[in-house]
Amino acid sequence: MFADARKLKAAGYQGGMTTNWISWIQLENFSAWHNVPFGTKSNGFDGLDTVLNFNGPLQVQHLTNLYNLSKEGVFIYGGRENKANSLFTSGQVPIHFESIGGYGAMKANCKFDFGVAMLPYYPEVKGAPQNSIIGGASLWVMAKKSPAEYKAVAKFFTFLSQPEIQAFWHQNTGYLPITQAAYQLTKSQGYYKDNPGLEIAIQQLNYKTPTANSKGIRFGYMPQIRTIEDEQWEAILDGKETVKDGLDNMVRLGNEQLRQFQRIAQ
Amino acid sequence: MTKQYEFSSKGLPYVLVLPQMVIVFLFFFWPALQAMYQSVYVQDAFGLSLIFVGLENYRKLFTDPSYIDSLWRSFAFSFLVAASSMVIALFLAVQANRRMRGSTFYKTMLIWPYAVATLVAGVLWLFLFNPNVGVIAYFLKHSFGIDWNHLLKAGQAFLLVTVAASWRQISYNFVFFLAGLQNVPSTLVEAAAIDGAGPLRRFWSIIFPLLSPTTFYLLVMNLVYSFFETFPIIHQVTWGGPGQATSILVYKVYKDGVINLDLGGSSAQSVVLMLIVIGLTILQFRFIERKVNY
Repeated sequence: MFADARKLKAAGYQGGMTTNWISWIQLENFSAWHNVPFGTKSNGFDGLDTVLNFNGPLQVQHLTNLYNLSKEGVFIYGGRENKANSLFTSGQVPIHFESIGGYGAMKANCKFDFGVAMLPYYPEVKGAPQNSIIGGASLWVMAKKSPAEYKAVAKFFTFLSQPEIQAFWHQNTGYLPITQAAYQLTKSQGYYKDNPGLEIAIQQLNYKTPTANSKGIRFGYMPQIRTIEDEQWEAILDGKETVKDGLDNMVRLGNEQLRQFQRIAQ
Repeated sequence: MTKQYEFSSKGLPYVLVLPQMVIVFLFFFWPALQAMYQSVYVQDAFGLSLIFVGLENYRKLFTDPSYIDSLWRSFAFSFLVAASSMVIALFLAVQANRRMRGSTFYKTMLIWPYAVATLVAGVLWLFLFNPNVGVIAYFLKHSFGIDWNHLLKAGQAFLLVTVAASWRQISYNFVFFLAGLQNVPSTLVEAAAIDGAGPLRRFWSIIFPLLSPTTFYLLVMNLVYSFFETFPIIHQVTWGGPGQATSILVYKVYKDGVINLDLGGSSAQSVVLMLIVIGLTILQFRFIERKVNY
């Protein structure tokens, strides 16, 4: 894919590729997709004393590749979170990494046809591609409520997870369906013929049975950690740090956040 | 000649002031008290657990190198914004005060930016300077060879937010300076001219001292503005980046409190910011007001 990006830049585009969410896409999902850990203890699921370890050789290699591409002017930094969308929608950069949740906005804003594909991977890594991690809003049930309230919560969840309701929700919001039944129902309704991108996302999430590295992540103070990743990435791109130092800083500062959270949440 | 009004009813003044005091209490005192209360606790994101930690949030702040950096940066930013917007506004006011063709037009045009909300001003500047699609960024790159990328270059980001913050404030200062200039009796200035004083001498010896009440007021207002009301600009244009280069105190309060849900730390920062601005204002009233000629 990097070669294609270089070719596109040579063909006259402003740049070859860009990405949203350097943290969620290029580090968290990158690690899961290649079946390498992001943190110890099954990415935090097994305990609050988890430690970040995404500064391994594979991630260093990946970010070094992106850094080198940025020196060539092929990778263009669009800003934090989803600020890079304007680079793609304006037609300046032909390859973009974004959440499938932004599909609707892309369709509305792009005056050109575009395709949707699964995340690329380094073929020499054993076990890649594994499966990607879902991101987005969730419903939280709080502890210490009355039994009657929990009964209501259960009823609501049962209602929400019915295939018809899930299919409706999925098709009208862009959120992905949470059950196989809803997915099959949507498929049988022919929805994916007009919107193939959404099906690709579902297939990517279910590509293989998840391992301990790809079930998801559970880290306290995740917003702070992602901000730290953004800040270090900006320093790397500006040439202020090497990629290895930047990743080491991300892990070190991120671990400080984790220890603080552990203290409070215990 | 002012008439002294005497209220016959003793309670009427209090009743009249009461609605405003209710608003001040609800929107200023109560949140400030809440902030002070929350700053001595550490709580989880849902507010379910509350651990009293005394002054530890404050201690953590002042031993955190990034917070100390933010302190210096905020001072630098605020003084730069206040100074540049006041100097430029004063210059423009002096020029616009002259009798010349189109002076009304200039005055109206120079006042308009103040009507633009700070957030909108931030977005405007963001579009103009966007490294990839912005008009001014393109112009800089192709006419001057300057590689403008405020997303990655800390100095440029700082410059951009300073300019965006000052731009709007210039109009505000302009209005007050213009009014102040028009209050300077022209007889004084003419007398000085007859005595042979050049324009610069006339300005510094006569006009500027007589402007001092206005200048003092604007200094206080500008500093308060630059510490607090510049938040939307940072939030829209640079989000505190690149790295932490434009992370000023008020933005840090938002980031740590609303985004990161570290309510204890954020409240402590909020209290510190409040004390800083109160302190600055007190300093100004004590020392600079003496030099003001009313």
